[in-house]
Amino acid sequence: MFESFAAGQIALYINAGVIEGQGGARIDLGNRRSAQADAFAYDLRTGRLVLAGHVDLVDRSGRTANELRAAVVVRTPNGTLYALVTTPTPRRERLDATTLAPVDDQAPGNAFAFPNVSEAPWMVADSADVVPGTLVTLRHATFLYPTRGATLPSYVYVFSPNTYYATSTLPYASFDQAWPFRGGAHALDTLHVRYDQSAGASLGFDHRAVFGDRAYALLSLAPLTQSGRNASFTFYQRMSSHVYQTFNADAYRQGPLIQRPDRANASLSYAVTDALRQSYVQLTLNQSYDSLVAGGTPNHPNTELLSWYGNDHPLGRTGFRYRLHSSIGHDHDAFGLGGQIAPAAATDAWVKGTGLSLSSPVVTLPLKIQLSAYGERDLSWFSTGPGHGYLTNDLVLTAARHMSPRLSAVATYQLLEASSPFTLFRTAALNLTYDAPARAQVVLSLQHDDDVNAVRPLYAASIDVRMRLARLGTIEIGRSYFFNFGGQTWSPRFTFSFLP
Amino acid sequence: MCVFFTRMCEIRNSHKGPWLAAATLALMAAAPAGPAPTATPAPPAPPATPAPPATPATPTPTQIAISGQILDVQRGYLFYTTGDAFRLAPKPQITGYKLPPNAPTPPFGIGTYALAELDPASKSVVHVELSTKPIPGGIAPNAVDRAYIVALSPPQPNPDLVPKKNAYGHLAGYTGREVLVTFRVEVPPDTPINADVYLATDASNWQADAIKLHRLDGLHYAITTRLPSGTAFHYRYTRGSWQTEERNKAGQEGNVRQYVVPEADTAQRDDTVYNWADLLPGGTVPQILNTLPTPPPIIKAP
Repeated sequence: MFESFAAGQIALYINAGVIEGQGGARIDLGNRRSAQADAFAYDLRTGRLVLAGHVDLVDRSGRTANELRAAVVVRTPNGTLYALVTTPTPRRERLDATTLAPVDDQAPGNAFAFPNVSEAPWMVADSADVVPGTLVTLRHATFLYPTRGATLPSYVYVFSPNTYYATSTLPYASFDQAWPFRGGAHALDTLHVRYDQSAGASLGFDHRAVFGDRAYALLSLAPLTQSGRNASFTFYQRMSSHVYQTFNADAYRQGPLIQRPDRANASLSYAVTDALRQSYVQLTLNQSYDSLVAGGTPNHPNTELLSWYGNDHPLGRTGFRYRLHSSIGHDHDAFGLGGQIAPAAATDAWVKGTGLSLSSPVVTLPLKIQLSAYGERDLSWFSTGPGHGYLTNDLVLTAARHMSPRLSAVATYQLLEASSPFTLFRTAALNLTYDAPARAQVVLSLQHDDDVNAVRPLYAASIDVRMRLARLGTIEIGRSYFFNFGGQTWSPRFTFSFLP
Repeated sequence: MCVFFTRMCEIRNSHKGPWLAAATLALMAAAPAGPAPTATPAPPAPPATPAPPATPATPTPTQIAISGQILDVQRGYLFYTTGDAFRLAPKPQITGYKLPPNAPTPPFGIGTYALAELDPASKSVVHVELSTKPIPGGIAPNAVDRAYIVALSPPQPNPDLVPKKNAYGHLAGYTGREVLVTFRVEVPPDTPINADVYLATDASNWQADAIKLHRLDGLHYAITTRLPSGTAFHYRYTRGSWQTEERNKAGQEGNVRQYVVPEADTAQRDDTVYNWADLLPGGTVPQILNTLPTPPPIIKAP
């Protein structure tokens, strides 16, 4: 499964997706075949391999195949080998991929082209193990960008188009530097160095098992180095072209690692979705465990929900679009459902819901103002409580204007109201975006919230700057001023990403 | 690239040196004085001695410009990766192609791109311009009049290097010139009003917030960037994390998007996101870590 490469120095070129080796290259081609050369270039994405300089191919029996000594050998993505043989006279040969024996002298034009690399190397290493089409593990790997950095015992670069190798359930952090350190054909282990305001500096860990493009399983642990630890397990599977299922388990413990935790709880959820012609249906099951600690309060509230959700459809030729959805479900909580359902002491309730959303097209008004609107009304009926009904209205108006190719303004007004208990959120926001040269973006946001429950600042002003540092790094810094919200004024927030 | 990363280019160029040395030494050591590498069927063997007729190194208006990638330079011949070989003048002029001041000239050897000027009178190359990138202009080596080619190569293209619809990476067959590409996406109308939308790509190790788009209006986001033609990659839209990635009409992950930057001055890609994973009814995406008990929030209501 692996193809192993070793050389005096192996360089990884990110954009080109190429590894190049210089000096005493040794290549294990698998299936007991190997090669030696002065240098090699391997296109990770196509699998095309070019060996150059004193090339010796060794077949399964361990001998140099047909005393072949070549200047250049090329292995094509479909396994065909072409050689520019120098002895006894210069000639081309096409080789049998299994026996390495010459077949004929046929070779297409440009057979010996080298990978197109016109960038700086991103990393150098001593050796590399490639899982074709998926990832490469670099041993004794050193970053060269932005400057020569620390040497890692191993680093895995994933070039697979399969996003299952990247999916993560780690929570948001201001800084999260991933270190994928071990990989295989179906697995990837990643360590995360993280920082955020609430948890401080910490470590996180992901283990992924990937089963082609049909399924994956993901185990995440974070933070590893704090007293409060989260563990999450996710399984996703495409069961057919229109049915998929997900299972998720979360657990949390608070307290010293090897002692009885002060607090622990967990939740499980399962969902299966079936896509229909113009809609889909989904069954969702959730159960949570309020306390897993002996002596704690045992309670296992659960919900079951069957939902139908239609695709959006045009409303005649008006340009408006609408969507419908409905659901039926059951809620259970031994300590009372509370919250939106009265009386709060009710422990079980059947819930039926339906909703309609309507969205307008983007309309251009005078002064080149682009206006759009979105509205949604949801109605739920509960089998208990007075009135049994719960109404939610959501209205969003958005106006945008582009003052110049680099400067634009977007104003938004949102009205969200709900009954029983009455809740009202009104938000007015203005975002000014300036796209500066050199891949930088500055966003100035002004927001006014008028909440009945006052859970958000009345006024807030934020500035967010995101810039690309040369080619490989992105930094985003944002700060918000809350105009004395609960004694808080400034909210520093930043994110930093070091991207290949 | 080299304009901005001179130091890195030096590293890169220093890597090219061994390539040239390795293959040249290999050929010099292993190949007896005989014909140059030939195509099929084998053409008449060129002279074994590296002493082609002396020619003036001064370009003439009738010279032929040949552009391609160097396979090797040895025994008085310039080999392109097509397999075609051209005789070199005794002292050909070697220069860099459109190099900035003080930039080092790429090595005259394996992997370097060359624009060679062939003098029809002497049938030899009198001037070679070198670059680390494909050089536009000129004609392909295998399109040159056969009378000037020492070692013929088959005319059919290499199928491994023909751009394929589903291939990815920087594809052969494109010049790699910068193209102004705009990605424009229509988002679901229930997208949160202050949401940021990002592109996650396999070129950025699938970082969920790799490329930030700016908002055009209530339904559209866009980003305009410069990419080399032929650049191909896979991507998905997210709202900054994999918990908020896009979903298709059926609420499923759907196939990953892919795009190849065309050979054009500008290009625009229009996409539509139908759903966000975290906004599906019933909570398709299981509630994740940050919904479990966490330390108290910094911001509290008054």
